[in-house]
Amino acid sequence: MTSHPREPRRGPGPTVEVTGLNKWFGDHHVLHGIDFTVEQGEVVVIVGPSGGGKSTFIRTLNFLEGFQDGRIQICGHDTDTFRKNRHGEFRERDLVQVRRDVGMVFQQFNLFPHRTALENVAMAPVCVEGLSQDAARERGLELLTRVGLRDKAEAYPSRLSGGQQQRVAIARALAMNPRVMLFDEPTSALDPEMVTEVLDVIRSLRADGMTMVLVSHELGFARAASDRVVFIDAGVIVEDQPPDGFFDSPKNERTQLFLSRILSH
Amino acid sequence: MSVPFDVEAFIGYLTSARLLQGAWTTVWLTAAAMAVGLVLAVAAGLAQVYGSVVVRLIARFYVWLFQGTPLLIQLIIIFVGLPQVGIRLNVVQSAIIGLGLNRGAYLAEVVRGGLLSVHHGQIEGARALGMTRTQVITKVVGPQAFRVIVPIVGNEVNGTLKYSSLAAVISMEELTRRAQIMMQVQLQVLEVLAAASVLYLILTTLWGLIQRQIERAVSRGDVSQDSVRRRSAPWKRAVRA
Repeated sequence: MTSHPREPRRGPGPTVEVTGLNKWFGDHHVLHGIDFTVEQGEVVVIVGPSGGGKSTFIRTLNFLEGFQDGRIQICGHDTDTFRKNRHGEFRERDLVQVRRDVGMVFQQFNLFPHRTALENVAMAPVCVEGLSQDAARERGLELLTRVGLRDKAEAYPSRLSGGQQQRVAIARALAMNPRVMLFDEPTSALDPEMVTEVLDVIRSLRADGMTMVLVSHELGFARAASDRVVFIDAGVIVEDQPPDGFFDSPKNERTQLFLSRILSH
Repeated sequence: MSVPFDVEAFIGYLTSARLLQGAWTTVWLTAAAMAVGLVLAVAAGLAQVYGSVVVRLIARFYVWLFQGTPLLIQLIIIFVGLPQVGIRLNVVQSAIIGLGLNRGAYLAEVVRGGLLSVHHGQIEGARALGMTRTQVITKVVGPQAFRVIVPIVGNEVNGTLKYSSLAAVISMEELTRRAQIMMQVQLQVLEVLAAASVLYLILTTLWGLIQRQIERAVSRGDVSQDSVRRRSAPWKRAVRA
């Protein structure tokens, strides 16, 4: 990020540290004791078969999904210090604090259709951070420029292509000056010709040193633009390696099988 | 023996101060009932979607009770029945509260449907930005539900204009009551009721035009409404419907 750098709130240490994370949907054990770390400035791509738990996992990192057991430390927030309400859920007050520091981009963009591109970007700074309308607008225009959509500031999402919508969604997440960005299959809903424009923006974030975790099927991107590739299958981290090692000499059989299926054509 | 339709008398009734005053009463009674109804509907709609179990049950009970019994009986109970247990409301209060409670129960379902029609991704998008539960509802879900709800509420206003005629039974001096009295005095049933009907038609038609403008104003940014905007001439509405 060129603008508005933010210092870590507490101590150095990794930006994300997950320990012994377990999650069940009813009887279904979706995440099995996950341990996962992301250092500041790292880009980690999570791959794996559908239904393997990778989307569920990334969504637990900003508490869009709850979990039954384990600990998440993210951007200086620590679930061990959170208090729970009478339903056994974390209190909203704590989660709101985490989410201010953690940006998220969704497969379906989830832009607000009743707001223009600029309003989408400027909304959270105003109502979450308490920034003035003018300052938020200025920051919004700056970010739209950054994702190449300055000229679409007044357009409603329904007037934008999928790729443009996703770039606005990235700008919207950046508007809170997050210390880590989460991407849940950011290009899966896009037509092939639009995938590149979104991946280019993500690469530019990497060049600026943004810490990022992506769930993605873009193996080419994972290989070229990540620091580590993590393979999740059946709720377990099966492989966690830098991209060269991951693609050229995967250690686990399941990773090998997954890669051979995907790369065979 | 047949008596020909007296056109002159009909026009006389149509422009009579008594019926026009009655029509005006119908207008403000409808407006007041809708105001009461909307407040109840928003409360009961939100309660059903976001409330705790107890709150949800209370809202459900309200909707069930007022949707499941006739408005006519509700009005009579409020005006004639409640004094028995010490609650005395005058005609106007009874009419507004009765109609409002009844319309509110129907509109609560509209509000609930509107809130549920907003895609779950919208809520997640807002929460991921750090918005509180209240902000998610007021800034993201509410405005989008509002767009869905507005056309239906518009139709409910049209309905309420006519349901308000039932208040005649508790002697509320609105259009229908005035027509009934006039009919009994003049003994020209057809002419008087035709005049009253034309006045109702004028009210519903005027409301239709207003409703159109409101719908256009709230459809901003919604591509699915673009074709509607272009063909906005009111006389083409029937074609779309």
